[in-house]
Amino acid sequence: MWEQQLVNGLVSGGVYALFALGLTLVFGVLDILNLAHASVFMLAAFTALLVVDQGIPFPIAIVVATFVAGLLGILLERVAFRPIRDRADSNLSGLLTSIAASIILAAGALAFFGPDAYRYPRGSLPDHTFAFANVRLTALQLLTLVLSVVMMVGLKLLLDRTSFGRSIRAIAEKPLAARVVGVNINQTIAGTFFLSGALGGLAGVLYGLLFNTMTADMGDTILLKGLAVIILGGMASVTGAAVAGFVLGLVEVFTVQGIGSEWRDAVAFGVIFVILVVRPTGLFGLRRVREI
Amino acid sequence: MILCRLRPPETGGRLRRRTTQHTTEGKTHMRARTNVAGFLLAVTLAACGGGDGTTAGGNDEGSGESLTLGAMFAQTGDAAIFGESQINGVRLAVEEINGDGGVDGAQIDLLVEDTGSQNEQAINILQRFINQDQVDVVVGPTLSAEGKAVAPIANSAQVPIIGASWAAPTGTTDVGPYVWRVALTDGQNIPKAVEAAVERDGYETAALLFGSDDPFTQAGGQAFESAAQETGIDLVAIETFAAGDRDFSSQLTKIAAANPDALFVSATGESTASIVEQARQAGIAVPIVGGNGFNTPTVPENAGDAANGVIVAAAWDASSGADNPTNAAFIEAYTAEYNKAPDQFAAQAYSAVYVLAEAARLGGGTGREQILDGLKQVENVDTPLGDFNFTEGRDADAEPVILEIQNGEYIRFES
Repeated sequence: MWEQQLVNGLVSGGVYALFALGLTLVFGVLDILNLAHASVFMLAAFTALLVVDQGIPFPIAIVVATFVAGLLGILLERVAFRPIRDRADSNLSGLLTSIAASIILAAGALAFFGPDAYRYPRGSLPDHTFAFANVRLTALQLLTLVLSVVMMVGLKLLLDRTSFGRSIRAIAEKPLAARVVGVNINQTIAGTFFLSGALGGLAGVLYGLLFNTMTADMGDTILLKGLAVIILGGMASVTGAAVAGFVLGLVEVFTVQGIGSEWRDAVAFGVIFVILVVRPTGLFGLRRVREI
Repeated sequence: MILCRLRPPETGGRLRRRTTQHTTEGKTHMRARTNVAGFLLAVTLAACGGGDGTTAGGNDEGSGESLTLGAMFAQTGDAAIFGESQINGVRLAVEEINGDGGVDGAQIDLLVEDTGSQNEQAINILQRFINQDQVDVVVGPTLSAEGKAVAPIANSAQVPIIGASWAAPTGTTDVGPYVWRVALTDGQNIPKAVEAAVERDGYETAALLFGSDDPFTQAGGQAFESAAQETGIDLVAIETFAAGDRDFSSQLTKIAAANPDALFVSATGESTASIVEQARQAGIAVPIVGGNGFNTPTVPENAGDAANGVIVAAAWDASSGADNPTNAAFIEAYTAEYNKAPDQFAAQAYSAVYVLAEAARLGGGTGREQILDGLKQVENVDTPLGDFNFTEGRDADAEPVILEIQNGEYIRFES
């Protein structure tokens, strides 16, 4: 049973981590909490559903929806963040425009899809369950685990090893200096938003696949967890967000297992609170925020 | 001349209605209004029926005045799967009653609002209903939580309010004399469902999973606990979840390890089907006994074969049409109007309108006090739920039917 709970925790932790990575990237580069991230999460889940509804196999739907979510990220940057980027108060006004964007997107989804919950057509998803020892792992859970780890490692490599990654880190460090050494600011920020949207979108698609219930308000719950994860991870730390995502997932399931399900959120957030008291910068945050 | 309410006093045929729909912040508000012809008719027949056209307080006297009915249900949010059926049920009943000449000649003027499954919004709507629209009676809201939020307000404003789906045993009708309900509570339903299931299958142990942050699902959880006690069932695991949760795997893993003979679930909205589906995924193959949240065809629709073996006590049974012609007529009319079969929530909301219409007849008018007076006298109203009566505590006086989901259908539970 403990092994099964470990799997449960890793699967939900993987989704939390993916979602939080998108938040972290944007926070690292622009110092803005992009609350519209939750709407990208939701719209990507619906996009995957629409693709599958056309009779297209779900693996393709995952790719398409993730890409669309990336584009949505670029659009958000262009519409909600770029116009106010040069304001002195851009972190606060950015937060506000992200809330506005979030409301617009959620309202649009509500107008288009209505309040009903949507589900994938029966039979369009694999229902295979692997059982070994005491553990049952559905094909979708396995896919979620694999994809989330692959994306995290890929993101880390991209940031550390590519020139695009270096540009992102340079802007995170000091935008002016980055511009001086020839980093294309607009392009790099747009690229960051593509990555961020794609990560949040993939999280949404996987969440939709795992629990097979898509509603226009499905981003609300994950947003709170995503915020907790990036705070725990150290705000702008990619490694921190990834690790903290799994920590939150595991703390949740083991609270249910060991203490009781009514304590789940209390303990999960309590643990975050204690960690932050002991280590105010979060798990992987540096004392002075040196981003990404 | 005192301005009378510009509504047709008596129309022989069905009153045509125009529905305007506008969207604010994604929430849909609908309001039915009498059309221009209706106004002209009213102006032409400026006699204003027999009444003297009082405008305030909804205290219209005598026949010929309209009955303003404020209906509020969750058209958006988590409980939208119930709210849609309820609105359909209410609209159908109002159309039928108005088509048959209204309540002793008074047409029902229907206002419909969306609570968004949220208490605050329900309170705002109720206040608008009471103070601005001057409604005579309110039907709704959908959730027990919303009901608890609005019941004290309606009661102190002395406006009769009828719950069509509140299943939490306490917190609504016990608030005061103006609060009524046609729904059976989970205090009435759950013990019967558990009793029937235990009698047939002889469980010794069970696990309980319930939503702990919602008055309805929590009351259901308590009802299951006491039902288990009474039937001598050992609850080997008691787990909770929070509203909005989609992932129940850790709770269900724990339950699966406890290896119960049955799973009791008190949940509502979208979580019902997800729990059933994930329970089967976690390897829990035993029967699931559910609370009122499972009384909607969306459960078998969404959970598919996983829903087989779900047992639930219901206030309404589609198959009772054979011995209840009113129910048969309701099912036919509803299906013709909306192209889908009604569920319990539609039947209850539809019945609520007939009950309040009967109350207005018995009370001798469409004013708030007259309807309240009539509600006290209601006896054997012919509804799809059967001959309807209230208990002393203003709850529905009826026995639930026990249903079991088999191959996507709710069938009578065979003991």
